[in-house]
Amino acid sequence: MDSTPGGNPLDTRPGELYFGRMSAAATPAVRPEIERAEQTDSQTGLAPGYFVICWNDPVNLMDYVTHVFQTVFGWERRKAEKHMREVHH
Amino acid sequence: MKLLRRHKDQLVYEFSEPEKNLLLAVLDLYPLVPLAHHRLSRAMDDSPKAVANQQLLEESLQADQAETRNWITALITQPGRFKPVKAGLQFTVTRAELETLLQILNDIRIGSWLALGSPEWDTPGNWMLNEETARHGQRLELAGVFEMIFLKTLNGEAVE
Repeated sequence: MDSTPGGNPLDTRPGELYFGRMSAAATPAVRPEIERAEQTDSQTGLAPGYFVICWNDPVNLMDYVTHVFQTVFGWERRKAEKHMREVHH
Repeated sequence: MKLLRRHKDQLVYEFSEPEKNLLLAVLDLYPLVPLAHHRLSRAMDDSPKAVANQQLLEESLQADQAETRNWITALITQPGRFKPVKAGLQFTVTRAELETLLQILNDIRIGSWLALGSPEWDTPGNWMLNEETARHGQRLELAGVFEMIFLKTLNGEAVE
């Protein structure tokens, strides 16, 4: 029981005593490794579309909203202005 | 302030010294829209996942704002950006830079409006002018003026 030759077993910290016993008793075992085969696939197509909700407010300038519609959606000015006015009502 | 030339990717404006100082003073206000104003969802619940996602959004926006502030500093301190000429100063920007400037000015405009309590202008009694509201109102209007000028010149309209 005494892990230190000539010493008091109670002087040994519990952890040390425990692991000392375990390492002496345990038999090393090696488990086979499991390899996972990774499979990739590619898909071609358009990204899903989005519904965009534009809220009316009294602070964003009409010209700025038109500009954002043109920039974000790539709309020509006339179409962007039309939709801006629909929101602005 | 007026547009002098518009090339394919570049716009050249003429500024007076006070106009330049006014633009810089307005840009210096950025950012004004509070981070929490941007919500992931209007119907957001208080679940830990929703709160963590919102926090992630705000951290990301904060980093973006810091980057934009650095961008403003780099833009206005770049040698030759405001070139002294006989009539005042020539301010040269690319279309891409102007796009970012518009977003910055809009942030200042919206942030000032939020600071005013998001008033509906046509609702009587909703908008009271006092020392505090005048400050926000002035910022809102100034940012709007620069926005309008830049937008009109981008679209090919002459502005004097």
